[in-house]
Amino acid sequence: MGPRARVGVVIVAVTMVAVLLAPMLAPYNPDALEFASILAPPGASHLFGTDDLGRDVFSRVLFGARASFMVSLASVFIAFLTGTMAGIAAGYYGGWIDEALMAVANAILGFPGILIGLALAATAGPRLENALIAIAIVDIPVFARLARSQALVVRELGYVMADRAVGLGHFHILTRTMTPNVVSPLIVQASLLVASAVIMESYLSFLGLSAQPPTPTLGSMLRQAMGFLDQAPWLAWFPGVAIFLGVLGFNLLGDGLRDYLDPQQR
Amino acid sequence: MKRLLSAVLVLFGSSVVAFLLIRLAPGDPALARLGLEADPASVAAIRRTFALDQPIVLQYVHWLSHVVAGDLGRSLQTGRPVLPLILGALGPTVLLSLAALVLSTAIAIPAGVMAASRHEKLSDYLLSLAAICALSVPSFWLGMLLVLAFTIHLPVLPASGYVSPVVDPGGFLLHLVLPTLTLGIALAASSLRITRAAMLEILGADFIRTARAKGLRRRAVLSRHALPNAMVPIVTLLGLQMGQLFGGVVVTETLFAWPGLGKLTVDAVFARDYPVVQGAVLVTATLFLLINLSTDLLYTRLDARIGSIAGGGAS
Amino acid sequence: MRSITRRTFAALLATVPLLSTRGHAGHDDTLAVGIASDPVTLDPALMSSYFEISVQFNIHEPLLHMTPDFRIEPGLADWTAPDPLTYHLTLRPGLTFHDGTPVDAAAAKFNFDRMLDPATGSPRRLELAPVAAVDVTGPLTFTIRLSKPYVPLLQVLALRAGMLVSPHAVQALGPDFGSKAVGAGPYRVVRWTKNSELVLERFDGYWRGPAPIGRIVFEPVVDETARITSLRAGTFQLVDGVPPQMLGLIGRDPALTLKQMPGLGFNAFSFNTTRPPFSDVRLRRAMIASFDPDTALHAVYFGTGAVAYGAIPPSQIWAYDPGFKPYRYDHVLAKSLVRDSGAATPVELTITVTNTPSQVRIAEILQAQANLVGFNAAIRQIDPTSLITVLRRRDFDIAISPWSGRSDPDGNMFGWFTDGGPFNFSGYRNDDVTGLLNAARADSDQINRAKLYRAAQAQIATDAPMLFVVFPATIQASSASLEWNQFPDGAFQLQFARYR
Repeated sequence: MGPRARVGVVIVAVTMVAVLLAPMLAPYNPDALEFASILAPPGASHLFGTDDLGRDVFSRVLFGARASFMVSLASVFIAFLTGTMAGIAAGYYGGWIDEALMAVANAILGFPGILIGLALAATAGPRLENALIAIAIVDIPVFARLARSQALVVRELGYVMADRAVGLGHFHILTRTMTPNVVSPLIVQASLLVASAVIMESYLSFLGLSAQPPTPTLGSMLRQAMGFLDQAPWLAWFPGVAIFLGVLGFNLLGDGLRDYLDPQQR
Repeated sequence: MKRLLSAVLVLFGSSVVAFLLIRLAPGDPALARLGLEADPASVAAIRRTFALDQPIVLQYVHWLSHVVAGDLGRSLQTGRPVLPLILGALGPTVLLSLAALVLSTAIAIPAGVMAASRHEKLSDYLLSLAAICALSVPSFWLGMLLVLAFTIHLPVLPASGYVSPVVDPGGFLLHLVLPTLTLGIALAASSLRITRAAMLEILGADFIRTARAKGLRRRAVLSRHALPNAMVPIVTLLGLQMGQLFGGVVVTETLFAWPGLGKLTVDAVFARDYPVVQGAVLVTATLFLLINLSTDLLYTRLDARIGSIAGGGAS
Repeated sequence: MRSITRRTFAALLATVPLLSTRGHAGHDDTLAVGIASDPVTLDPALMSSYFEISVQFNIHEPLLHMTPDFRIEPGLADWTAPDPLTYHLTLRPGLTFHDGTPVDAAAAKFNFDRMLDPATGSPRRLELAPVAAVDVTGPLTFTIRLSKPYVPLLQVLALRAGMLVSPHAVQALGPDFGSKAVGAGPYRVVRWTKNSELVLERFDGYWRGPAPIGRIVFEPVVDETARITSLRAGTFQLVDGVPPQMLGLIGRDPALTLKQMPGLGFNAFSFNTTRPPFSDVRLRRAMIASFDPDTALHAVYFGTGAVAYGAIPPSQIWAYDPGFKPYRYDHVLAKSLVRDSGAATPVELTITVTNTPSQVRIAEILQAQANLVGFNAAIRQIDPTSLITVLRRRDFDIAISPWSGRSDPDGNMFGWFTDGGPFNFSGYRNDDVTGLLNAARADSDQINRAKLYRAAQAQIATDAPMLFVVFPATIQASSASLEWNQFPDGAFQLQFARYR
């Protein structure tokens, strides 16, 4: 494992521990209003300062990261599984399967993601879970199309040809030969999408389509901070830095995984 | 022909889904237009005028028959014809998307190739690190920081707004800088990474090793053998990015008051302006199909080259 | 690629000097105004949102003019009222609309008939409801006949309902009228690019004479930080909707002028009195006692505006009662009220609120404080369009229902608290209150009216159909070189603006 991957593992591990142990690590109740200390700058009693309702920003960052990263990871995971399978099948089989799957993917891609989020919120209620599903739906075609284009290349490479010549079945070729060779750029993409999922969740939560207040997410904290950029920049710094570090960890980890999964590169 | 048929099917499907989804969302478009002061007689009048009291299937057929004739109807909110409204918003979005794409490609492809060719050397590390950091910064946060930096602390650029390039090209470029940077930096980072990954993959392939073994110069191997092969995933990504840009510039458009399609669509969704939402989805989906078509055509050409180069390299 | 980038960069550098002059006060003939949202329509008969307030008076001229302290003066017309049911109006001679067609009595009648026709779908029908007929009595004279006395009519005629548009343009433009708008105001519409800019040019035929500033450009910038930044950078010379937390920042900048005055509206929640839990008045009063409005005023409004205990704001000087404080922030009282109600605790409820940051903040305060006295409140955020539907269907327990307000207390009370009133989202019904508000509407004596409104307010406070939060202030800012008048409703009337 390279040094970058190791840094990634450390960051992700720290993030995960912080997120899982948030209730124990947080010095304050993240939702407790304290009107005596509104917009207090970072200091001894409040490490990251307080927000416009006097809530402890450090505690809110911990809980916000918990919500944001859980949603992002889960949605990207769902999208990755579904999208990759569809994409490889489309690329390998070609023909009408390809046409049909890509038609669906394109239809989703050409669709405003916000409309999906809104319709889900409307029918199933504005909740974090529904934001998760909306993000997954938007991400599926991204994986599907990338997997398909990768599969188109890999299909023609020597070793797949060889498998076919030997007379191995479709299933065997798909799972044993195609998938490992298709997957590595997808893992890079997945790590990228964890980042964009955090952002998309924040946008949905700004529109009130995700977690309901007072439950914080990093994105909703950032949006809240926008109105106070001049007076209380720490409101923007800490959730922003938390997203940055968490996402950086996943990106580094993604790189490490990629190197590990792709023996040719070692 | 088959392509055309499937394209029409995709459009049809998207329009049906959009038609249903926007009607699923709670909130009455007649009330949205009349506001708190709506009285029942006026609400009924608006519902009649816009045929909202008809069965939904009839509403769709009615809409579709007009669309086929090139008429996207009029906005429920503003009474403006939908097509000019969408075309007017499309210009700024396309210009911004292209600017961001040009910026990101100009940075990413040379940098990605360089990183891959100097795999595990200092410049690779630095480039990869920069890319990974750029990628990990949330874009609207970056936009806000850019605004603070270049309009308040160092006031050289306008904070927001749009100037038509026809009216004032200089002003247009000035207004373009910050939104382009906001969008382009993250795009560049992801393109750089995909370029690098694809190049590394190809550089590890047998035919490149053969080419190297044959004593071809590094630069020739990179540009004539490796890059064309790496282009398939890169082109896919560019196609995807172009599409995502059209749909996903909403945040940037809002932040910089850029009067584009993303903002028009979201506003219409929130105002339950059915005709505008339907028209916008139709136009966005059409654009997507066009971009896909060009991506696929590029594939075919790249594929042909892949065939010849790979074959030639292995022989 | 590299050469393109270099060329672009060179072009950028070449244009940098342009920036410092663009839109700066140096252009004495242009005023760039940053507004919070693009107007929906420029047709005063169809305007239904708050967002048209900043542009409407610049394009359209009402029949009567209201000063910032609510005095009614002649506008396009002068008036006499021989009895409470009859208003004679006389238009100024020789006036035309922007398209050159005459502003005459026939045009006025056309406008009223259009607004009153249900097929038009005009929100003006509501405020013109007591109007029985409009009769043309001469080329420039017409009479408005009421079905019952309606004292606020004069103020209504100084707002959207009194803004005359060109009948010729309405007929010629059809559905395009809303985006082109031909009125009789100080400026005419040059072009309106959706979400980008609305360009107005001085109308030389304006009755007060040509406006000092020749050209006005309204640009919608939703993000408040970006809007204020553009003001500070000199891109705008005037902005609307200054967020209270930025008052200090703007006040310290010598290049800027900050103006604030009491507004006309209120921010409040409606209780749904038609279903549990808030069909029980004790729980409504418990909720009110649990909530500290001073906290909201400081945390959300940064001390601007005033705490609200009813619907009549301090700006309505003759009706406002500064001593009226029927509630106290008292958690002991709140807890005992909850206990007395006999409801199973914690009392489950949902606070419905729009996704505007300041409204969410208020809901979060309400939630936290209510949960301390025996409630268990959840927050449901919805978009403003859904809110109207939710309020009308009474699909809520307690829901935010802000009101932009009117200059007459009737506009803040009648629709909200009369039985079956259009804004009576609470489902509130008290025949005494309905009687008082009807009497106040018909009484031309201001002292009597003030008494009637105070009696109604006292009864409403006892029945507690709403939880009042604050009377927000109207806060706007400009570059220091601009002289302009502020109006309580936040309207810009830029015929009165000039550069120093």
